[in-house]
Amino acid sequence: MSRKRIDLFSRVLVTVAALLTMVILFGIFFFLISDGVKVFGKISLKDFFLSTRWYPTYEDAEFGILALLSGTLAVTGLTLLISIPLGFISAIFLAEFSSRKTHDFLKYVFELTAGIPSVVLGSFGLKYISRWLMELFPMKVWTGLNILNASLMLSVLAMPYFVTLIEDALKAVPVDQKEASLALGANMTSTLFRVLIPQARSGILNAIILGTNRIVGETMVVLMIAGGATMIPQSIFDPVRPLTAAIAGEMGEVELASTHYFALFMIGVVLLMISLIFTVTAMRLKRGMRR
Amino acid sequence: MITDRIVKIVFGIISYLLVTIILLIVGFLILSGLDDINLEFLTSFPRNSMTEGGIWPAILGTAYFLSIALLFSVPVGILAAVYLSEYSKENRLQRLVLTANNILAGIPSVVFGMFGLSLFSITFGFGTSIIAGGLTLGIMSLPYVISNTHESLVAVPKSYREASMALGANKAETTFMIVIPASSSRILTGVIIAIGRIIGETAPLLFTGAAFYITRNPSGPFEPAMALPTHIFVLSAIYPDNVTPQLEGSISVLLIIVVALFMSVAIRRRRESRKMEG
Amino acid sequence: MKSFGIVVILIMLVGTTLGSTLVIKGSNTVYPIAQLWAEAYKEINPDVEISIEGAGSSTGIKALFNGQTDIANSSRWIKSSEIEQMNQDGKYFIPFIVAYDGIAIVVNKSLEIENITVQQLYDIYSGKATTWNQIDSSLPKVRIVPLSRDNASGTFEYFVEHVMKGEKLAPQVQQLASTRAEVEQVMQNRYAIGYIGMGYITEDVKALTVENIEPTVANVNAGAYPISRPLFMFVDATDGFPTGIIGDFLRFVLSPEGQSAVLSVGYVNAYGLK
Repeated sequence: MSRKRIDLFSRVLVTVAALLTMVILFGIFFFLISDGVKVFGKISLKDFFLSTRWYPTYEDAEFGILALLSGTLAVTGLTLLISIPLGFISAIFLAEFSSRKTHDFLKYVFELTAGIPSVVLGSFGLKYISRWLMELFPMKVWTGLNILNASLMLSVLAMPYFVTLIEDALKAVPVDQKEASLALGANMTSTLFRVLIPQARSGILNAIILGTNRIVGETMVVLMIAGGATMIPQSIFDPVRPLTAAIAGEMGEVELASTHYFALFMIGVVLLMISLIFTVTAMRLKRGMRR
Repeated sequence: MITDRIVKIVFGIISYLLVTIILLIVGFLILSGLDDINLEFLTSFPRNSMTEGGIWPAILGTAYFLSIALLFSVPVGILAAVYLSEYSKENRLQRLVLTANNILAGIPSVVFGMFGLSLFSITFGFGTSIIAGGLTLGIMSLPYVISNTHESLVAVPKSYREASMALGANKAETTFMIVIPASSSRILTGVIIAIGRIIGETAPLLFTGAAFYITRNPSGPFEPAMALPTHIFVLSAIYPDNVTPQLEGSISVLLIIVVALFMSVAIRRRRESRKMEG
Repeated sequence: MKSFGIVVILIMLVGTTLGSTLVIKGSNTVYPIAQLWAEAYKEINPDVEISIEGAGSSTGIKALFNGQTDIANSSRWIKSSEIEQMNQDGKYFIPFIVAYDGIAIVVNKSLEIENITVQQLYDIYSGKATTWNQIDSSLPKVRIVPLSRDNASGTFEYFVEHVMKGEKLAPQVQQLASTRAEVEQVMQNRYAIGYIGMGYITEDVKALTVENIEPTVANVNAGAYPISRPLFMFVDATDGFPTGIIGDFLRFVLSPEGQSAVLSVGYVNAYGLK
């Protein structure tokens, strides 16, 4: 091959590789939706989304996902309440108050945390957190596997995202703005809250959206320790069965091409749509930030 | 300035507290399994209904799944990143590819598992196999490889490219002989991070590639294999209490691997940033 | 793209390697004992290779239809829909009862209850009884915490069919991903109750007598214990009774030696012992 040919060939090759990502994305949507919509041949849209009764393996099976959805919302909400403030504080400390050495060490640990396999955190929650919760709140906790337990373990997974992304957002604020504020005699703390955080707010929002997306999609932790009851929770000590837990718990033993199988795929479609909305919103925000 | 000090101390204490809790959990889990790990545990098959023997097939299986995954995601990911950083101008197509990549990165792993089951296991007929599980993990890791490589390529100074072009090299030569080698170390760091992200994935493998137990190592990519994370789940799910030492040992091994991976990333990053300043 | 080339080459290289391997798929309940048989069988026949996947009874039988497995483990009898498909496809599967599994009812050791009736179990799991004093007036008026296995598991199906008589479990019943999780919770929670395979009973939990019958091997064997079920292996006998490695493996499973192994993982032998 001549040099020119190679040049052309590599142009084609890299373009094809880039297009492949789009093909894969369309493939995922296609395969999930084409299996998922088949559930509506048997179940009405209303029964699927608005019924709380998820009894997929009975003779007179019912496929309502509202209770599962409420489980996902409850676990995600509580995880955000725990991990956003803590992540925020750590990000601020990392961005503005830590020495280089401290910064590198903390950052390493947070990065490592993002890599802890969730199945490991699940077995930790199962064995230890569950027991501690029951000992700590003997009156309130009627089961150790509940929303709080799952949220605590999920927070471990979600925090590094918040720390890293919020720190990046804070650091993206132009230095001259910070220095101008400091030069005017403001201390670091008020500079932080009056200048940096307001300036970085769309970046911070972006971080929160991406982190939330991670939490919603987490599977093994909620499968193992969220409690597994298909009920609408009344308190953070109630057990729930989030969407991902239903898929992971039932997919392994479901009969292929049964209504139950299609229903699980439809839940997959719901998860896919949630993450699509989150990601696109986050990208919009980021683009707006750059402008 | 007193407020600054207070904020620094309070925020610092909270940050260190969080890090301590995390390290305690990780350390505790590694330590409680450490006394179960020995040469026999690492190199033998499970025996006597998982109560004895070791996790060799799970270690090897994890290596197989990762190999297939990387065989797919590293070449495709690097090429796609090359397109983004070297070949595409800021056009619609580039935006579309970037968007697609971001969306892929946000999709929950359990959804990838269902896709892998539907496409590889059923449509392609790969069944439960290393190749079905490996490709599923490969697709999962693709967005990580693309983003990390893209970042590394963009970080290569423009002057490298201009110098190469000035000497008469064409785009392909410049890209593959100058730009990629110049960023190879960073690209590798990105690949290690991608490995760290997928090595603990459990749900996708449960759907597509994991056997709970095998009597010999798989002889080809169309057979199922055991894997460390699924082994942990299986031990904690369907075996009685008497496999606890095996379970703790497996958790410990997996965590040690993950810690080592991220430690190597930290060390590599440090070296790179020193080189940059140097 | 390069990887696709490599994958294609791999595909060609491998061809069909499955021939010499015995593939067993299906029920997670049968799984531990199938593993033990595979280990023991391999010791007698070192050149046989066995792969076992636990994916649920339905998946195992499905795989038998597709020829993806040699033996399908099942913790339930074949369904009417499956018999229909069998007739349609012109296939003929035969079942072997390979062991029995007793379902034990476990509670925390500190709970002062020793016996439970099938009716009481029904009341608890359907949500008709929600506090322990409704079961026994000497027990405290505290919320019952009923635990169950995932709704796709064979143990669950058996429980719903035989104890619940098809009635749906109350929403607050916790479906756990594993039997171990159930045992762990019963151990931790004074007011929890769960149903598990007899093999999973540990010293840390209390197994209740059901209708005053103790969950023991002897009682299951005698048919006295009210909640126990047979475990099956299905094979494809369309072209005649299984011979070769499949037949040989089954012979081993049903032999006194194979049956003795059943006890060591907590199941009950279906036939005589050595």
